Amino acid sequence: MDTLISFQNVCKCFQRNGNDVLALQNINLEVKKGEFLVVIGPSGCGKSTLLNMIAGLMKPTQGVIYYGDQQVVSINTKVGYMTQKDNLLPWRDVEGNIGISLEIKGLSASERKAVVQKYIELVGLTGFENHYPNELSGGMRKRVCLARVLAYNPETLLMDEPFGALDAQLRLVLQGELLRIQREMKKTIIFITHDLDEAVTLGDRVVVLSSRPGTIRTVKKISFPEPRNVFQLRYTEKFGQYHGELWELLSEDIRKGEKVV
Amino acid sequence: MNQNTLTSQPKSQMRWKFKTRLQLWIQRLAILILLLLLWELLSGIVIDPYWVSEPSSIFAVLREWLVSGDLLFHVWITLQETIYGFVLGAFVGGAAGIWLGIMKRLAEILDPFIMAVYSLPKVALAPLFILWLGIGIQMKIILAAVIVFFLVFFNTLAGVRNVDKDLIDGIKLMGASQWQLFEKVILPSALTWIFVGLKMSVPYALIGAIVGEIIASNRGVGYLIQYSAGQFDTAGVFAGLFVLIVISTLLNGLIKLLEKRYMRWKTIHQEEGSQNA
Repeated sequence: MDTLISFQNVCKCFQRNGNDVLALQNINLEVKKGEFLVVIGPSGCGKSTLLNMIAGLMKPTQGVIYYGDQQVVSINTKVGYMTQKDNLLPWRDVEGNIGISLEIKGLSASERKAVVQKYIELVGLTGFENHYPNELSGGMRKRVCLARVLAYNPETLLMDEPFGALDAQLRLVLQGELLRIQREMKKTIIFITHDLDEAVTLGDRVVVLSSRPGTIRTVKKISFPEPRNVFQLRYTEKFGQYHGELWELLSEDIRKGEKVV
Repeated sequence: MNQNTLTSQPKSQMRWKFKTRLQLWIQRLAILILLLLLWELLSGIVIDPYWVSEPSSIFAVLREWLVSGDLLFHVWITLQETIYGFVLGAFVGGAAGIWLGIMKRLAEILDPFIMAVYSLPKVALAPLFILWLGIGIQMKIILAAVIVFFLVFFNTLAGVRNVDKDLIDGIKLMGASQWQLFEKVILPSALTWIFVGLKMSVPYALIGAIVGEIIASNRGVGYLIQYSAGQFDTAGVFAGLFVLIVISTLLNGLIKLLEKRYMRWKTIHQEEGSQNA
């Protein structure tokens, strides 16, 4: 597989109260085209910063990031970004929010309607088409965000804990859908999560970041027979093994964190 | 997730609400009648009617104005001044606010000049406007417009400047052009602020018109009040004030209605909150 995104010696510093805080250090990473890459790591280790830099919303302090054969220097419209905070437009109803990327592309109202309806059904929001974001629960807003980013249909999806606010059942359903869409349409996905089960279920590879300053601790390859079944996968022996290995890697940092506190 | 529970309420609860609302209005009406009665009775016994007149005389004046057609004529003049002044000030203020909200550098350069004019009490401009435009309706329109301009201008400017940067980034990532960014995010987001400015400036437009009329005019409700006072006609002054109360109450009601209609995404939540409270 070809490399789509590559980080070359990337460091990111933030200014906080006049001090330089090193968020990410020495990141060298290649994301392959069509790959489902999951990123895990202790909170505050710079996972979101990684996505922000791919999207071109932040610039690396050192090093370069390539998307395709171009260096990312400004807003990268090839990616769809589902941020941790739901950035829904409060004055647009569910339909209007999901269809906004299609409006930008210049699709007619009837063309938009068909696409929007498809994704509303997919995320289980039928009947809520004309509700405004402030009438929805946190989990429902997340689903609108998911439908919106899928409707945009970008080459690459950046997802920052997209399923964090959902209940366990819906989470499984949407994980399954996402995996299906990704496999079918050969999307590249970079997916941040706190949930090890989710990481093992979805990832082709899992990147484990260390606590701040975030460095890449390991990149773990995950392979299961395809197509993966998100409901049954967790009962396999291999799943337990991967889970255990990732937990070992993560817990070193968590223990370290505890000592400091 | 059940939609019905969001919107519909049990019938008994609605009837109970109607009852309390009715009671509320009866109590309000009782206070009004009591005050009017006290006024009527005490005037002439405790205080000379020359100072405070009495409701019956005020009512007589109002009826006389109504029958002669004076009332409609003067109210219409004042309304025209208020509405034209409001529309002119709101348009220019809104446009200037959007323009300077986007042209950040220009806004910074112009800032001290804008603040200097803003700090000027706008009513003090009235003599200048009389000099330029005479004592006709135009001078009141301009006076009202200048007052409205600043209210709408500053609110619009703040609205454009306070657009959530994350919303802008999100739309930019979808490949929006500058115009789309403006039309789909900046303007609708600023609209809440703009609406606050518009709402605030309706009573100020009326103030501008009335002050203009009191300073120099031969028509309008402000003129009626000023003229009555000049004739030592206290009942006429109170009648004029009463007309003003009615006009401003109606204007505010109209704005509330419009807001409810066009700001649905913002108001639903508040309404539900107040219903539950």
